[in-house]
Amino acid sequence: MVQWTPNTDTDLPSCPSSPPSPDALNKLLFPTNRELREKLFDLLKEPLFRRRTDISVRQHRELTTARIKRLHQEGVFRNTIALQKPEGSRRYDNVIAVLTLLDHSLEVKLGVSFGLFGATVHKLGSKQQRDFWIPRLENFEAFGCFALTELGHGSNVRGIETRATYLPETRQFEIHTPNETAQKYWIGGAADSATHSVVFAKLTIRGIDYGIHVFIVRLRRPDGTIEPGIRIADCGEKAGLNGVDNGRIWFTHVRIPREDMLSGLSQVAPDGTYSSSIPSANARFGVMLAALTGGRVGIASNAIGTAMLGLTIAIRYSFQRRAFAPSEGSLEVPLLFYTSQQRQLMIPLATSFVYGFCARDLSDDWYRAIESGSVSKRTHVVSAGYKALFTWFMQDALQAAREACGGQGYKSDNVIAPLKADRDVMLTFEGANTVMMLQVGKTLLAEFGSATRNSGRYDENSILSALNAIPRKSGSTKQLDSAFFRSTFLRLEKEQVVALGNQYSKALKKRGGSEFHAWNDCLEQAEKAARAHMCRVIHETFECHVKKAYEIDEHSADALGLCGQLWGANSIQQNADFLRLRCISINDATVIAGGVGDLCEKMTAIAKHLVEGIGIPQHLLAPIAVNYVKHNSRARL
Amino acid sequence: MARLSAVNPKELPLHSARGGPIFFQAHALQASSGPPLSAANQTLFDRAAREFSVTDTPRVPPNHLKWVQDAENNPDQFPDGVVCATPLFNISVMRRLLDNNHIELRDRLYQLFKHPDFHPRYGLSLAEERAHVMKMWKRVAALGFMQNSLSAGTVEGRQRYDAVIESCGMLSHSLDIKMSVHYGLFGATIKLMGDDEQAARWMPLLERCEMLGCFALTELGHGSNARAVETVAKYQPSSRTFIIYTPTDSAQKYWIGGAFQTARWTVCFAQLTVGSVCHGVHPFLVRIRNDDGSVAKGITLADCGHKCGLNGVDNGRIWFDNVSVPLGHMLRRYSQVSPDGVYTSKFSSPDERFGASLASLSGGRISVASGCLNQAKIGLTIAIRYALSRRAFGPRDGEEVRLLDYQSHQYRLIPALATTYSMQIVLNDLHQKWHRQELGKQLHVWSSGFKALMTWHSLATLQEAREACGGQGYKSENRIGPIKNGHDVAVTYEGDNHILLQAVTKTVLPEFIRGVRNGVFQGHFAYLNERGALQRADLSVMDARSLEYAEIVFRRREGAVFAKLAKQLEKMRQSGMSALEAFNNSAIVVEEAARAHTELIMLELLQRRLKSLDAEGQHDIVHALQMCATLYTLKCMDSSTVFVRSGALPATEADRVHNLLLSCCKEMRPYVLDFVKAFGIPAHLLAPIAFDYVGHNSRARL
Repeated sequence: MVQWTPNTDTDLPSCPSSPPSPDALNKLLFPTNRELREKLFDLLKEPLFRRRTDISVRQHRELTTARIKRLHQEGVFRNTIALQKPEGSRRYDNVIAVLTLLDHSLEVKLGVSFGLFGATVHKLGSKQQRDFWIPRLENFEAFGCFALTELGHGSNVRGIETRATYLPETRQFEIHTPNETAQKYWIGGAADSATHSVVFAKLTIRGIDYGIHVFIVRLRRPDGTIEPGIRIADCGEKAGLNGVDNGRIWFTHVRIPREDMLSGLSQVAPDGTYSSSIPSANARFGVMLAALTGGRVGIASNAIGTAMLGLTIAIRYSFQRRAFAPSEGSLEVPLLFYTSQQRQLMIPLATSFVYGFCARDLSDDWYRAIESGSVSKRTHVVSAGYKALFTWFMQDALQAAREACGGQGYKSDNVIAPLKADRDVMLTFEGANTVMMLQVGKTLLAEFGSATRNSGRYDENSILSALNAIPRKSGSTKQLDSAFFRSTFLRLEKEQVVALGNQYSKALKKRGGSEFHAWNDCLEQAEKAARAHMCRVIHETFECHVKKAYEIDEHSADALGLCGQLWGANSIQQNADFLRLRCISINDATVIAGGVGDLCEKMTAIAKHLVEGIGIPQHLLAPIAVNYVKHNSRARL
Repeated sequence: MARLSAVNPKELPLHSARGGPIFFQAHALQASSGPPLSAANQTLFDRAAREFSVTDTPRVPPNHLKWVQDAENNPDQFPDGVVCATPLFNISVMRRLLDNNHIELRDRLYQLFKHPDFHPRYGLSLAEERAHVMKMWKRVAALGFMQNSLSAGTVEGRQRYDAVIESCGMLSHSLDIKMSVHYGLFGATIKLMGDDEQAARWMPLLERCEMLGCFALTELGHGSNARAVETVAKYQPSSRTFIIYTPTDSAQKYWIGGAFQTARWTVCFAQLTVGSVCHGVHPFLVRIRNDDGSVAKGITLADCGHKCGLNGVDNGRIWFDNVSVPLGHMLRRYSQVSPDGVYTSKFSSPDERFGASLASLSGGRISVASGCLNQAKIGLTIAIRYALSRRAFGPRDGEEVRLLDYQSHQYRLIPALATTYSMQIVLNDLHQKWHRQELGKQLHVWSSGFKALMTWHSLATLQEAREACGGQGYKSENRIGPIKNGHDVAVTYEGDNHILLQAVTKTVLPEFIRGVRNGVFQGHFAYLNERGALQRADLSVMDARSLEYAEIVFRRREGAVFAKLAKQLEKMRQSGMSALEAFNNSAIVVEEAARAHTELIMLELLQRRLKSLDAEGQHDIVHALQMCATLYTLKCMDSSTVFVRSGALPATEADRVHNLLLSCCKEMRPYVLDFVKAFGIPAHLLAPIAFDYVGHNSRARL
């Protein structure tokens, strides 16, 4: 492979005398399972893992299965989920973080069985059920899918219509699809591969509705034939992710043994007596969907990995590609000379570092939550917020990367555009982003309500407790230091939350007390409050990482600090609400708008080191990231 | 529109018949004045199509015909309470206004698209997709609409050309690009750059598709900076030929649509060298393939390969190895070389010459903008119709609520709808001026600015529409996802959007600076002569829905941003920076200025158009468009920090604008169905989720 020789042109901002070391950065970004990552990167050099374009849906699906087989053969998944421990989950997540750089379909197909099916059994199954199923999943003796979504019910999971009726006389459950909107839809792996499915259905015993419960249903026999009573159809061609065989499932009075209801939390005795360790139906429902929270944690983190891949390619290309000459007859300058190009790429690069560390924190919280068995409100809120913000960011970053490479960015060989198409689905699956943000907003509204009842003070444990003491404007706008960002972000957060609270109580009066309609009048404001909250949380979280980094490597910490500044300044300058709600003055805004340009230039000076710090090996990049002229040369026809 | 079942493809008249519907009689006067498709044409097309060796496997999504039929039988099968009892405007009048001309021709093409050859196909291989597009082009060409279009040099001809391209774009982006490369870029270059004799000789041939062409400008190493192309055309007086060659690998022609498999000819842009003097970039007509499909001598062709979309277009790469081109094949309207090697040109500077040789790109940019707005229309129609039928969540013990009745959903789709309307009205104005060839420098500025803002708007709208439909928006048969992938390319081709914006400012700024120096502003900036009054205007007593309100804010912003830019550049120049450096270091403000300028121009055009419609007595239409215009300007003001930062909009007013934006969405909500219907897109060009999505997905249809 040709080594990458970025331009060290004098036209580009000059590199500081003590740049960050890529190695140190890489260790900060990926502190665990480093050997495993290396081994996997090596394995992905095999021809089977070469990137493919122009393959049919069928070929893509087959390729995905073949790749999973090969990974399994190499023992890549050993001691991941079957450990049922944080280190196993962390190991699994590291495997996925590498595979995600190759193909989204591969990641999703594994994620459905290991993550969604596996986590559901882990969370909701009895010990016996866990110990039976999870090792089988890890060994591919069973391949699971996750039948939650129905044609008519996506984000509103509570509305699903599939029925599970208990039949005491035969000690069986009967699973049934009562109408067309109740068909299970988009079920990854269902169309032609999964052997089993966790099926979410409304449990009825002797005419009494106990709400949604989960059942394990075999879809296919070992010989591949489909179980009687089950009808499966293909969801067909999609705008991306075609390596995953999404399917539709109808159940016609399918009977399964009593033992196949996941019974960790709720049980049905042979005579039909229902019992549950969580008596409230609402609370039970929340727990049922815990696997989705895990999914969101993974999505948030892989979104950042994906953004980094696209940005790496675009930045490397921008170092070597030249356009326009400063004067007649002189050499054209590299694209990164242009401040518009710098801005297009450096802002997302900085943001990807900021979010990357935040995503890792969330994963760590999640591992702790699995172990302790309880998920904190903070983790719920942060997982929803990060899932939405990070996937939206990823899509914007990939769009910027694609545009920054011009037509080359549109070529499938060069990865970015197909990556973007493949990843687009992340914005709506596992909870549509807008709905995620509104969940955050709803929690904020509740916290605000409690504080109002408590003479305006937030409880110590409230996720909004920081709003109790908002520093007056502090820090320096010119320096763009941490204190400035913190006070500015807190002020916006406060303004937005208060606006949400006030708007809601006004709407409630106007709507004659209908909470549903009052809430609907506030959705736009709720999203604004949610964004402001997440912005402050991200800043807080990332600052801790920068501090920690100073204990390890000063130059890397400086670089991270720069990323934080650029992300912060850009967050302010692209959101008109800071001005509208008087969190900054017009003068501040002008200073910040200019500051963004300067910070972009500083980032460009160390962009090469940052990109090398991300450390994606060349075989997972693209021709334009290496030597685009040579790759296109006539000699290679 | 006729029902699908009533259409027998054999009955579709494939050639002009004077006894047809009224539109066609009128149209036939111009369209059929050229000879009917000749036998030669048929064979050339057949041969070209045969070279796409793969047979076109019609992988039409299952049940395509069934849902289309359902949709036509029952287009408005929505839950109760969707359609407003009092329509705001007449849908067909509005549609005529939006589509502007050749309505019947458009409908005729839409009708043709019911033929099985045009049914949608997904999951095709690269080769299959190319073959399919070729097949469609052939059928469209057989209608003969393109004959005497651009070659005629008339308003009607240019309009007809655009109407055909736009209609084809509604069906397939690959199809419209394949055709625009041939007729538009290749053809228009011959028409504009060739002299009368050259145009008369080649235009009829290419409009009858007896000469298939492509447009070889971009090189591997040179895209946006087209002046730097390296391909050389050296004049050889002894043989009276130009010798064209590719000196380096970065000089290979790249991304040339149609070059890999289809085109026989290309207009090749190369540095003309006579003796030892290089006269800059000039266009030459070069044969790259013989009519039998074999590659011409000295030509090497390669494939650009698979792309994220637009795979029906065979983009190719070309190398020239001392290819000999006759003297008469240099396009010589403005510059020529005499047989003995004397170069003469009507332009004195290479700059002007270069500008003229790229004139066909201005028209291209307008086409791109217009195609993109059409894609936004498709996305919005599908997403809005789906949002009217799909329900989710609801009050306790109540029915689930329609998606479009959620504030967040309205906010996502309705401003985009209003913006699309506003932009279409504005673009029609530019289009008309282009058809009448009325614009000089403005053409360049407007087409650049509009192209950038409209393509970005379209892409953002498709993204919103796709997310608004959730997973269904990602399914290929629902069109939005694939359309978005296909149109992404629009933000960088025919001029990268950022570079276009910079070009806008570069062209307009001197006019501003002249005004500052002279103390009197002229032309566009004349409003700045009253800048005291502009600053003093009290927005708080004005109706923020009025376009006068927006005009004050937009003007203040433009004035402030240009003043800031001029000052900044001046300071940088004084500190010793070169002009390029200073401009580059101000790129952010430069783009802000271009946006401010373009949005103000759009607003002015919009106001003017509303006034003229009002004078025509079209009050309902004006009322509806006013709604769109208000929402569009509010959205502009609410989403950019520049307005408040530049002092154009006080923070208290920004609050008012923000609140008003939300209530305007709500006010427009009852009428959205009519607004999307007026886009005039027939059911078969929409998607199953735009109609009965449950029926389409029912088990009975497996």
